[in-house]
Amino acid sequence: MATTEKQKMASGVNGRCGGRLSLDNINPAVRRAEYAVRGELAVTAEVIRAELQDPEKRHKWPFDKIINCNIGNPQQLGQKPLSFLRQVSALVDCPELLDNKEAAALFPQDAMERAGELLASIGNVGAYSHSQGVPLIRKSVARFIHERDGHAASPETIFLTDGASTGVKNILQMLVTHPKVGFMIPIPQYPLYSATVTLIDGVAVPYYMDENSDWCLHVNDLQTQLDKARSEGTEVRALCVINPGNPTGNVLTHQNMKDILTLCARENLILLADEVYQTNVYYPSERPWYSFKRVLMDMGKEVEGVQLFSLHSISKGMVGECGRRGGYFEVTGVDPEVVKEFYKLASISLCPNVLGQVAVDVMVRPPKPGDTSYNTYMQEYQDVYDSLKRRSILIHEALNTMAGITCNRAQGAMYVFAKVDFPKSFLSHAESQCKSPDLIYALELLKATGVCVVPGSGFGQVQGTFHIRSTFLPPEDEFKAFVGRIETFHRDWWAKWSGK
Amino acid sequence: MSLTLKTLNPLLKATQYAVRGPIVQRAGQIDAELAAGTGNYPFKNIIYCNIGNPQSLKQKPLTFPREVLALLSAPHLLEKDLSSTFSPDAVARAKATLPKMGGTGAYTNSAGYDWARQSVADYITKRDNANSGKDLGAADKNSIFLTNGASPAVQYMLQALIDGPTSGIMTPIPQYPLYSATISLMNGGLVPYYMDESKGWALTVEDLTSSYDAAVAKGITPKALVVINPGNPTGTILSLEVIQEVLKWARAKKVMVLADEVYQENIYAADKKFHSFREALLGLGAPYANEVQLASMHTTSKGIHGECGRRGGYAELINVPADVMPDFIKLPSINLCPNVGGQIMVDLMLNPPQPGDASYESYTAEYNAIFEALKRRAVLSVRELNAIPGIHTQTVEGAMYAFPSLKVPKAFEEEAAKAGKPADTHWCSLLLEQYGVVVVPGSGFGQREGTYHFRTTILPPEDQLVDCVDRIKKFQTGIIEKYGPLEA
Repeated sequence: MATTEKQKMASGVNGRCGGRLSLDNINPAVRRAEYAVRGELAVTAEVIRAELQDPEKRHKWPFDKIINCNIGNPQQLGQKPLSFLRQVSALVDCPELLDNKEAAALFPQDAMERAGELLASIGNVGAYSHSQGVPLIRKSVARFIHERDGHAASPETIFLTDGASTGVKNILQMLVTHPKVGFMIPIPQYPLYSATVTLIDGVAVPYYMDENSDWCLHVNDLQTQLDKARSEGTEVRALCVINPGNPTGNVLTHQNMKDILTLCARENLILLADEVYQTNVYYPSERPWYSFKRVLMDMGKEVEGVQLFSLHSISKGMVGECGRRGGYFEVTGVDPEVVKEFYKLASISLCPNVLGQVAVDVMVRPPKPGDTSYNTYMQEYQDVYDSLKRRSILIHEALNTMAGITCNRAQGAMYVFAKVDFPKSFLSHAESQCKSPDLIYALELLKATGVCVVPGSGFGQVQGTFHIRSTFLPPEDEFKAFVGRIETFHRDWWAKWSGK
Repeated sequence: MSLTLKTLNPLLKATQYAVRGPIVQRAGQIDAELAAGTGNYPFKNIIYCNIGNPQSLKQKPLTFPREVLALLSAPHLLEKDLSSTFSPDAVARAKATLPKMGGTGAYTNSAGYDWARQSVADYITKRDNANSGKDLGAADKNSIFLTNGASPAVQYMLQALIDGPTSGIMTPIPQYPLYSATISLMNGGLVPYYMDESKGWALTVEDLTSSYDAAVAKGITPKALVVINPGNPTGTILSLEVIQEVLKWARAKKVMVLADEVYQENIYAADKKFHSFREALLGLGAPYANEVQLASMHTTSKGIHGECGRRGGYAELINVPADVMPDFIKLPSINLCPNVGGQIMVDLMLNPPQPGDASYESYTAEYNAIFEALKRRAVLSVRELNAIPGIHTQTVEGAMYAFPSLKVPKAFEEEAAKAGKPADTHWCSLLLEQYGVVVVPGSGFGQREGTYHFRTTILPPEDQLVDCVDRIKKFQTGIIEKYGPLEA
């Protein structure tokens, strides 16, 4: 661009140019990014929710509340928090309670001990902690990883974060060295990945999960997509895998994981393993879950040199503490000098919120047998797990009875990703509206029933197929009614469109 | 391509954040050795003066907000008799807040709870009407979003504004290095503007214009102007007149103003008052009030609450077109929502106990004690630092820092140059190794070429602060003895 052009722009001679933030000069990467989980459906749901609270407007709608099935937000739908975690959290905020005799009647002994132990290390939860996270809590995480996998972990390579999402963003951002850096992401995927890749000006390289084989991952397909991207000049650096899957709910087989690691070793790909649903595994004998770290370490020399980032979170599992924003990632196989750079990046934001870190500690270091809270904790935990599993089956069965809908069972996580074979007439209608048919369907479902799901186009899907993602989080005592609403809507809707 | 130092994002490698940089990390190592009894240093303890982290230096949290937060963490307690453990108004506040939360562990709206945003809007309205003595109208909750501390708000703003190195962000020199680090990471163009140290870090539009013109000549389009008020590290409080001059200038140049106002409760100078950029802008009326784009940031980390680890804060946007908002709000949406404890803390900070409430007197007493202690230490720091040869600081009118200029002997400068470091970095390193005091070199904040500074907080408890300044005095005296007299 000629200097005079640059100067013109800068001095505002062109009117709309110059500094002010507007639609035509907001960072174009921000304009391109999409995040459907809180996209059009969610926004529309909020508008309706506000109208439902307005006595003048609520009669517009044939339902009295919105049921949010668009987001994995268990406690919004009545899932109870784990008591021990909340007791420890209250105590670290009010340390005076630890010396107060009356308080001892309100809190179990082990919660008070844990709070005391944490405070001795943290000092005060109101202070910025170490930018990587409180050292004691990182030790807890390292011990947890070691016990889970049978391989040692170091607190020095663990980074606590405000939820796992922050970790994903930081990791992917650090791999960008030029505009043609590629990141392999599953189709369908949790759109944090596609949105982040867009924001960092990376290239998304899709690989396809196989709907017809229970959402399994074919390593041949990975190879094909990798080769294709490379032939197009993309430098593919990383492979993102979500296990258990979101939205697919699949749990990778052990062989699958070995094949993935072998590919990473051979093709020099960094592996980012999103493992936030690792405790939402509903068929552990049939389809056990392993961490990528464990499989990597077990394989040893065979896959030497593979670099791995493993993420976990307090938002999912039975803990479900989404609003607290807590999580961590572990770095494996990366030069300590690079880990220092990650520290530097973390330090700019100072530290993850301390109560979120405390929740991580409780998640990875729950009460043990013999502890005062052990029985309560295990009971609460088991109750949530059993209920999630029951609901996963209920929704799977119900969806599969609906015309045109097929749905794989959820082996893990909190979602079903149901395929909808829309009638031809509807597909034409959608085309004439220039909207994805699953989006139109989801909006109509919302406006008829108050149920908010996310259209498959938000996650990516094989061209020409359409899906909706729903959570199975509505509370059990309302679950049948919730499923019933969808059934009723769909029956009428289907009759309308398939008759044309 | 495997991840190595060579293949790491070069923008990260180029980025620095001195507040927790190499000197501070070295202090951590020394501290660990002291704790383990393995180190051999000429001091018994480290005094950390590198970071505005009051509760790590024994500042107590305010009781009332902590009680409410604890009750909201463990709401089952609200069914019990809490009369001997929690104050009744904390119980009442928790009971009133609980139904508004939709599940205490759930993700919230990405911009934060609606009611918390309204709380912020009400506070802003009240504050600016009171400070101006006028009715400036009500702040709009839809233009407010809560964040995990003020830092993410800054990062979102910069991400929206920066589209490559020709996107200029005017940044004060010296500045809090969140700005320089973020601009560097996002590959933006940092456009420095200088404040006049000799006039108490005065800010003039002439300085803004010369900096703006220099950027344009290089092909950079300044898109935004960052102003930190009260200043970090400068400690200066801008007058209403200067703020209005800056806003008029911003309108003429069509730049957005990013007003970092996180220290708005740390006002120590008797003759200075805080006026928000919003107050100044709305006070100017048309055409400025309708045209100048403004983002104003606040936090729970500073002020009197000092709840750094909570990560609570917000930004208010003014005159940002409605059609930009859906794109802009994507950024916080991808991270889902700011942490709930931080959001509650924002509400508690802006809606403290009122006269008649059970905690009002104790809250006010705690608040005033902390405020007075900060004010005393602001005065003490300046007085004691200015008694040290070669060290001179401007008045600490507000915030939490002193940013003294530093003179060192020529031979010391040469030694630093040989070691490949700026002289102030070398000085701060040796201060740590020899006296156990951690401050941050001026080069970490930016300074005029050929000058040196360091930033120290005023936060250690009074007796420690006295010890700290005494150590600095001994160190500097020793430097002068060893390396020769200071030039006039």
